[in-house]
Order: sequence, then structure tokens, then C-alpha cells
Amino acid sequence: MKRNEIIIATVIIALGLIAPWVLPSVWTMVVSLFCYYAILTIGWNIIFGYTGLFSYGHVAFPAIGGYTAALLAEHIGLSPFLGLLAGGLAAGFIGVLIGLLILRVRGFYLCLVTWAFAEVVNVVLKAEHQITGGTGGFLAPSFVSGPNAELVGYFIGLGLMALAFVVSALLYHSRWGLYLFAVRDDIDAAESMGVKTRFWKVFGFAFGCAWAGVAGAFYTYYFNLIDPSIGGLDEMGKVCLIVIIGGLGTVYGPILGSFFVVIVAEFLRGWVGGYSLLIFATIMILAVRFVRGGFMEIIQVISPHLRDKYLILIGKKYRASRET
Amino acid sequence: MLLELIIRGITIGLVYALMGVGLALLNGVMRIINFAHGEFYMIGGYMAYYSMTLLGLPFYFAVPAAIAITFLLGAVVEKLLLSPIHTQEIEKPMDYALILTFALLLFFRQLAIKVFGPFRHKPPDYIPVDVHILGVKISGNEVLAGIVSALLVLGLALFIKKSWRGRGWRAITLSRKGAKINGVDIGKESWISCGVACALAGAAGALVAPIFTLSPTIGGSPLVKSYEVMAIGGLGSIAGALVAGLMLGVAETLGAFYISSAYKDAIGFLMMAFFLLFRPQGLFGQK
Repeated sequence: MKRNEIIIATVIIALGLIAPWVLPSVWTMVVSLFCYYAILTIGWNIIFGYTGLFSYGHVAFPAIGGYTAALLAEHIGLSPFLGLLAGGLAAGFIGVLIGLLILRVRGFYLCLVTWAFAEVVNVVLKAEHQITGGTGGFLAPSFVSGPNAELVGYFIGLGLMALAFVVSALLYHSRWGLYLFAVRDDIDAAESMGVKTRFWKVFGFAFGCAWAGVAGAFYTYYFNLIDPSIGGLDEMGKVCLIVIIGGLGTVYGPILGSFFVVIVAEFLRGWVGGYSLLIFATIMILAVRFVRGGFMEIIQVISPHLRDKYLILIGKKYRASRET
Repeated sequence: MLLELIIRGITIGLVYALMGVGLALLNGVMRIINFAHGEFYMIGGYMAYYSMTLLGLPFYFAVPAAIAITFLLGAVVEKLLLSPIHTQEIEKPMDYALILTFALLLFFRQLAIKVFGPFRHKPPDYIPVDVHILGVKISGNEVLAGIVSALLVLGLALFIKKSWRGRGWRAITLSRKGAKINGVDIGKESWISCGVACALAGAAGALVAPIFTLSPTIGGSPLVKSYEVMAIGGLGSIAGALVAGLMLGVAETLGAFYISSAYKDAIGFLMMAFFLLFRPQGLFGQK
């Protein structure tokens, strides 16, 4: 991990730890939702941003993880902490199967196959209402019972998000990450350099899916309810939006995007009313059309200038920044 | 009962084919896919509704008006947002178009909720009498939708086969560079074909508006169906899209009745996944 990433992870955790005592209690829920989206989109960022597989069925995996967790807790009384693991493993396992299946297809066909998978999962969840509770949803227990349940859930979400962030940052700088980037950038060149592209494709896909499963299990235990709508097309739109706005294929992108789409949208709710999705869709169109890197690119473009200004301000030579 | 289901399946299948043909055209000429295709369907339906209720036009003017408006909208979208695909060099045009049109889907849907309101609307019946075909009673609207869809698909096929512009489109589909060398203006043909593709979706929406009522979120299901039609029929094949649309329509109506109505939407997806994985070139496509 780079120094900046360690600093940012520490700052996020520190802010998260003091947030429940500073902000009103409704914000615990908003920040928990932020954690859910951050984990989910870190998974999608690994799949699309790192490995270059355009998966449109990513939201099926939180549904799989969440229902696995809820059903296990209901029928065999599994502890929620193991439930997180079980949800992640279930989603990862299905991810391996789908990953093996989509080795046959590329590009746009991949997008269609994964989308078809997500819709079939959604249809099955709605149709098998004796098992899954249908559109009404399925109840699940909290992490701990008692008055502190919400606070404990919040801290678990925060911890999971920090873990996901650290893992994705480590992956970004590791050799494994380089294999994934090679698969994304030029699969034929990667193959000829001896990268096992088939393995890394499946690995990238299943790894992202496993995080989505963990996110789904966390969502289920935190809100005590899971329903098929978390696997819908609108949710996929949100995932796409978050990663594109934040910056595709970057470490901070999902966190930044989730921050804007969940927390800033909540702040602005009073002024923009129901227009937040419309505004975000417009931002997304403009971002894709003009700044393809999202907010991360803007920050990367601006930050050298800011550093220059700062250095001038504290009296150092302008040249100092150019040497680094 | 079987006959009735099959006739209903054929009518709805023709509308699916109309949606799928638009996508096939766009995929052939621009090499992209459009996730906002269903939203043009929704807009076409609303335009027909408003030209009938606000302007008081009869249906044989309202449907062409909806087609014209969606044509213009599609052309504007191409000019403003999709033109970088052929003017600038974008590294991955398919990914660019996927993300951009998905953003357009969200945008149009949210805009429709704000502009048209979240409530359901239903335009007046186009043909308020029932028609008897082979002893099966079918509403005039459905017959009209089926016939006009079939005519539009055939008309487009003829246009592409016979006219100079259609020849240009086929040339671009075969080889973009070759078409450019031989004097096809890719920028111009792109926006025209994008407009036509969107207009076909708008026509489908306008035609079925009195059968299925209108709401801002109706674009989702036809979008899905048009992808299934395109994937089953083969990318860029009009005959394939027609056959696939009919297959899908009949399979769905029969499946919904004999198997389970809850799994109706899964039938098309399973068909699509099967074709994509085991016959990726589709029914009539070449490898």
C-alpha cells in the first residue's frame, strides 16, 4: 500500500468511529448504507475496473449472499458473523461457476450473459415465495440483540468496508493486480507473456462477486430484511454510477463515488427533492462524455497545481514539486 | 385455446421483432449497443398518448408523430453523445457506449417520472372493435400493432436491400474503412441510422400503448426482449430478428400458460443464455 492510501484509510476509519457520537442517529443508517455500497462497488471495480469484464449482473451477488445468510440464520441458526463469511463464500462459489461460463464470451456478449443471470436470479427469488418470501422479503436477525444492535452493525459495516478497501488497495499494487490489468489491457499480449488469462479472469470475477456477497449479507443483517429489489436493474445503475463518477479502475473511486451518491445525496435531499437520481444521471453522462476518469481524474489533474500553490504558500521554490 | 395463445404470441412477437430490428441496425452500423432502447419505446408511447389527448389527433397521425419525434430524439442523442465513437478515437467504443447509454436509460426514466408523472396513462383505443381470426377473438389494437410492426420490419428490410442509403449501411456493417474509402459519409449515416433505430422503438411503443398502459418504467421489459431477440437472431441480422421475435413471443405466451406465469420472463433469458453460450452467432448469423 502507498502512504496516501494508508493515510486515507486511517482518516476514513477515524471519521467513521467518531461519527455516531457527532452526527444525529439517522446518519448511522446512512453511513451504513454508504458502507454497503462501497463494499459492493469495490467488488465491481475489481471485476470491471481491474479485470475489464463488463458484468451487468453484479447485483445478483448481494442477493445471493444476503439470501444465503438469511436462510442459514433462519433454518440452522447460524451466527451472523459466520453468516457474513457464508454469504461471501456462496456468492464467490456462484461467481466461479459464472466466471467459468463467461470464458466463452467477450465484450458485449459477456454483458448480456451476466445480465441474463441476474434477471433469472431475480425471477427465481420472486417466484419461489415459499422459500424466499417473494417480493415481500425475508426477515433476518441482527448481529447482536439488544439496544446497541444498530451501533454494532454500523461498526461491523465500517470494519468490512475498511477491509475491502485495504484488500483492493493491496491487490492494486501487487503482482496479482498486474495480472488482472494485463488481462484488461491486452488479453492476447498477456497470454503470450505467459499470464494464465483464463485463471485470472475467473479469479477477478469471483473475487469481486465474493465481496458483493459479503456486502449483501451485511445489508441483510443490518436492516434485518432482504427483498428481491436489491438485485434489480436500478441497483445495477447505481453501482455503475458510483464507480463511473468516482473513477473507474482506481483504488479510491468506489469510496468517492459512494460518498457522493449516498451521503452527499442525503445532505442535498432538502434542496433537490426527488431530483437526485436525475442529477446523478446527468453527471454520469457528462462524466463519461468529457472526463472519462471520473472525480479521481479531476483530483489527479488538480492536485499537482494545488501542491504547487501550497509550496509557494509555505515559501518553497516552485521547482520543488517538479522534482518529486 | 392453443390457437388463441399462438396468435397472441405472434402479435406480441412481431412487436418484439420491431424492437430487436432497431438494435440490430444500430449494432450493424455503429458497432455499439443501446441500453436506452426501451426508453425510446416509452417516449414513443407517451408521444402518441399526448398527441391524441392534448392535440386531439386521430391515431393514424399520432403514431407517425411519435415516430418522427423519437427519430429526432435519437438523432440528437447520436450527434451530442455517441458521435465521439467515429470522430475521436476512443479506446473501447463498446464500453463507452454501454456506460453512456445506461446513463441515458437512468436519465430518461427519471426525467419521465418528473415530466409525465408516475401514474399510469392509457391512450384511447386505436381500433375499438374486436376482430375474429380463425374463430379467435382479438382486439383491434393488437391486430393493428401486429400488422404495422410486420410492415415496418419488412419495409426496413426492403430499404436496406434496395436503396442506396441501405447499401451504404450494409457497406459500413461489412467494413467501416472500405465504406469510407468508397465515399460513404459515416458521420451522416450514423445519426440517420441511430434515429431510425430509435424511431422503430418509438413506433413499437406507440403501437402497443393502448394494450399495455403507459408508465415511466415500462421501458425495462421491451429492452430486455429486444436484447433477447437480437442475441437469438444473431447480431445485425434482420431476418434473424424477425424469426427470433416470433419464436420468443410464442414461447413466452405458451410458457406462461402451460408452465408458470411467474417464470415467464425467465424463458427468454434462458433462451438467450443458451444461444449466447452455444451458438453465439445466432440463428442466421455467420461465424
